[in-house]
Amino acid sequence: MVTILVFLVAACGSQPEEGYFKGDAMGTFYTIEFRSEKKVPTRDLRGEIEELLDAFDQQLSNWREDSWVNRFNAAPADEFIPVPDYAFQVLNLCLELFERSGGLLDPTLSPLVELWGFGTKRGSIVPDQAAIEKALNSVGFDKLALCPDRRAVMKRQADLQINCSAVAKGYAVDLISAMLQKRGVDNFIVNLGGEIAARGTRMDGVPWTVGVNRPDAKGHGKELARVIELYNRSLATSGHSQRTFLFGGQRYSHILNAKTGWPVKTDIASATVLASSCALADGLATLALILDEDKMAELLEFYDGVEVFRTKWAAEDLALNYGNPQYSKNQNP
Amino acid sequence: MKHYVNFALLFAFGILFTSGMLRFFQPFSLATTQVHIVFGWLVMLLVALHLSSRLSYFSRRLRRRRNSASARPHRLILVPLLACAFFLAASLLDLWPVPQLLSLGHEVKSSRIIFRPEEGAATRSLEGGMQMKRQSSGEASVFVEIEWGSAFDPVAEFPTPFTGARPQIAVWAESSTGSLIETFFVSEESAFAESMEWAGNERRRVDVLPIWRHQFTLASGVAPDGDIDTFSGATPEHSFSIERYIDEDPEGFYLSVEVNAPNDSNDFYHADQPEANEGYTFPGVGQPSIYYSAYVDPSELKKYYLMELVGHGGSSSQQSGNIYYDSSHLTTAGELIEKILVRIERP
Repeated sequence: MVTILVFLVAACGSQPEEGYFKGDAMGTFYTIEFRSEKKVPTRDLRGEIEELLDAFDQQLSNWREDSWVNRFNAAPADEFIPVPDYAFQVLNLCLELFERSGGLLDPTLSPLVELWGFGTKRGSIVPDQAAIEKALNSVGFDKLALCPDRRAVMKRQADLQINCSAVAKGYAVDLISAMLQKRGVDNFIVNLGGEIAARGTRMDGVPWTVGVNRPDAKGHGKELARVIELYNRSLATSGHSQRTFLFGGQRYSHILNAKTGWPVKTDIASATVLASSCALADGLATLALILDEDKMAELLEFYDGVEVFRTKWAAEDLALNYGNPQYSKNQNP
Repeated sequence: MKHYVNFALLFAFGILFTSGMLRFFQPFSLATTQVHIVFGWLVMLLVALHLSSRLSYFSRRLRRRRNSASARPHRLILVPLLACAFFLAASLLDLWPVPQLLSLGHEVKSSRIIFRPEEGAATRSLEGGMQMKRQSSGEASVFVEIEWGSAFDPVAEFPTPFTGARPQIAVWAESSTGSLIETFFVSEESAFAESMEWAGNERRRVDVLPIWRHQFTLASGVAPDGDIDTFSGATPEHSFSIERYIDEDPEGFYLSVEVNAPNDSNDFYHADQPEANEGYTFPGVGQPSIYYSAYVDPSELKKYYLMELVGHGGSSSQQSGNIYYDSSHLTTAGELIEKILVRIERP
């Protein structure tokens, strides 16, 4: 009887609600850790987050045949198509980054991505230049008209394809973050495939701590390039190491230059960006792999409170010579 | 007779209570669980004997007159019955105070760091080895069959049965980019807590199975030293379930096995040297863990794969989760495993 009473008294004490769960979404993993003074059932929260991610996927997943983006990609030219809310926000951000980067972050790269074998079909062969130039004709975000008043979008060329993966995961993290805050969760860290948002602190009052992996050419990097304390901010990392292939002794990355149609050749292995919004951090992290220091600095003048950390290849990994041997480093922006 | 039953009940309940508390507050232990189950049965038997000797008490109580000063029969039945019904419903429906009560135990407090196999995973001991099977919902299966080598002692001798000196084993799958997909099996001592009693010493599991423990960080969100909350890197195309890899997507993956035997020091790897030395290992650890791996390509027609010894987890001063390929200083550790055979089956 005494034991039961002791347990009941202890159980009634007010303890902060803590939770951790993980799962698969958007072709990668997610983990969410939270602590709240308010009662938040983990099971309900998990269900809501999965519903949210599913709704987001239904709009922007290029892997789901019934998604809005795939229906838009199959639509004819010169016809305004209504855009659902999440897709509209993501397209707006893509348009902003496209314009401010001089067209180097381009969500219409799909024909090139498929040609290089980094899309729905995997390949590991360098395509010929004629095929690259042909694919380049079907690329260009400026061939798309976004009408904010009608919340609609129209393509001026029938074969134009949208793929917003450069910022989509970051935007999904922002959505989860907003949902958690709306539910009264004030301390959390959300990680969706390496795109992260953190609010508040850990149980011990210390800011959430994120380890940024040091990439290596095999993609097996377990060492940390840096450790970052994240307080009410978001972080995203882009890198070459997870999706590459070797061909003729050269390694080719999935980060493509929208102007040349070739994988970016750079000594930067990965870039980590801290910003108030994860979608912005996600887009800027991709650009930090493409742009040189001066152009990146110019771009960052548009944004307050953004920090960029870039990690270079180790000498032995760089020896694999990322990119196209025909193009010198100077030809890349 | 009833006095024997009463005293036996006192002692048996004492052991049941202690093992119950250990089971609730401490990491899972098969020994504690066995004691708890055996004494649970014993207490049930003794309570039955005790109650049977008190049958006359129950019949007297239930026949008491309505105007008696003590509780009426229907109340005597109803109140305890309602209390039991409430706790039964709360347990089944996860209502107050059950979640609050459970949150005090080790299982809930440490749920992130506890390894539990997914549904569809099973392990069994074989004569001179073990077999692990993971079946997907689409009826595809991965079998890993390990045959112990001459240096493998499944129940290593040690002074007391509580010092947990069994070799530790982890079996898992990881993506071609090196991210953990799913852990299939981890030895009991390493599965339920970051620290354990191993080979007579308090050891962290990262000291014993460093490669798996670093991989497990992605799934648990807890780094071995607890300082890092999560990780960022180039986006992995990833799933936390092997099902996608064997059912749907002909995407290759690695199967990995890490094994560490206790007290197997040799001339190079031992604790009697400065900690900064390359060969320094914590007392009881001896030679580092050994790591076997096989690349499985589900698009191939091949059904069988033989795992190869790739390297080791490094000495105690090196444990970063990386694989160390120089195996020249390993002696008996290289003889822990005779062979590891992988079989992939599709419907």
